[in-house]
Amino acid sequence: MSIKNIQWMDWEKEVLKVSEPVIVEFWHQNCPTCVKIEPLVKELPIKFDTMAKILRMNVLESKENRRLAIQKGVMGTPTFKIYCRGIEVGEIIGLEAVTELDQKLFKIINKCA
Amino acid sequence: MVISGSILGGQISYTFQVDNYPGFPEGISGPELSERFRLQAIKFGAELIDKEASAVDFSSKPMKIYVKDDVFETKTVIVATGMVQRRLGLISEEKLLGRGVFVCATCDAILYEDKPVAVVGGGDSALQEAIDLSKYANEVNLIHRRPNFTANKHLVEKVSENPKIKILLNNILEEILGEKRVEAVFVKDLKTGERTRIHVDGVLIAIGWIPNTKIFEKKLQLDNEGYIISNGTKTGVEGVFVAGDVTDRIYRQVVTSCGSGVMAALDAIRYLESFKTG
Repeated sequence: MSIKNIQWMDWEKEVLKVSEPVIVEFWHQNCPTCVKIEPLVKELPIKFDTMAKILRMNVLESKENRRLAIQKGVMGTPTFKIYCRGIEVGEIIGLEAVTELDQKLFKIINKCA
Repeated sequence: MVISGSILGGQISYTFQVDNYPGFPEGISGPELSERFRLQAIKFGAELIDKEASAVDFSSKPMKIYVKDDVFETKTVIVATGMVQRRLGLISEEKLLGRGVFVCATCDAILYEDKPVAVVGGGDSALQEAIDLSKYANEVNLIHRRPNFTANKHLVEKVSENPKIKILLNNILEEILGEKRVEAVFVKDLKTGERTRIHVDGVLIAIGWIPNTKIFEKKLQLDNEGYIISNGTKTGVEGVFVAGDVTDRIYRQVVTSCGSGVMAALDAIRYLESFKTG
């Protein structure tokens, strides 16, 4: 398992029409907290294995990516949004992601059951 | 043992490029430099705890450092807690952090495209960030409590000429409104006392940095701005040493902080050795 970098046009296929829980990190390379937590994010596919799909969207990569993030209510980076069968069930924002990220995500993923 | 807090790396983690640290002629990103410091500390046997110290007791021997539910006992301490971004101190500001309240325009300005925002502050960084934000936001309300900006003339001219920036001098941000997201702010005109509600989706707090010394109040001698008063690396408490920006009002560079960290470490070692010979 690895992290898939998605673009705005992948949203429906990768997030909405998926049966398993999905974690999406909205990030960009000029966001110091995003860079800081990158090692933690890279461990997520191993920690969540088949429990959830881990995706990332770089909001600086295109105007469309940025607008999709704004449309989804992202107001700071990094923002992790968690979806169950296409419905948003929780989010982790900014410095909240710095400590115990996996445990916080597990807690939200449990709502998917 | 290093009790590093949740934001290991401190201020340099939030600096995109460090160009003046020796050994890196091409420059190095702040997060990468701090990661290298971390790896080097671990290599030499440091145990890192990525939690905040919540309280200290320097009066007992051994001294005590409280971290969440744990207590660590020690003969010597080096305080190197650096600086933290100054906040307004509103409950709504903490509650809505990351949900419209933000502290770094370079990081999050792009997410406020075609939205109205407020910037609080009057120094160089506040004005520069207001200009950066105006490239995306459709309206920037620049709120400053004094009658004049403290920023340089060039920046003041630039914000004055920017049609998207509305300048509100002699005004304070009284409250940020919104349950899950920022919806508006209340500003108060200090001259007339008039309160105005302004619709904004974002609030950028850019009111500078302060020494991170809250847990040392009444434990160590602090000056009127919160810096730890020291003589070299020594504080007024035996066995407690200090290094870096938390005691440095003048230089505040990564390299000077590293240097004072080494001085404090050597002084701490000498202090510990005095127990053996004494």
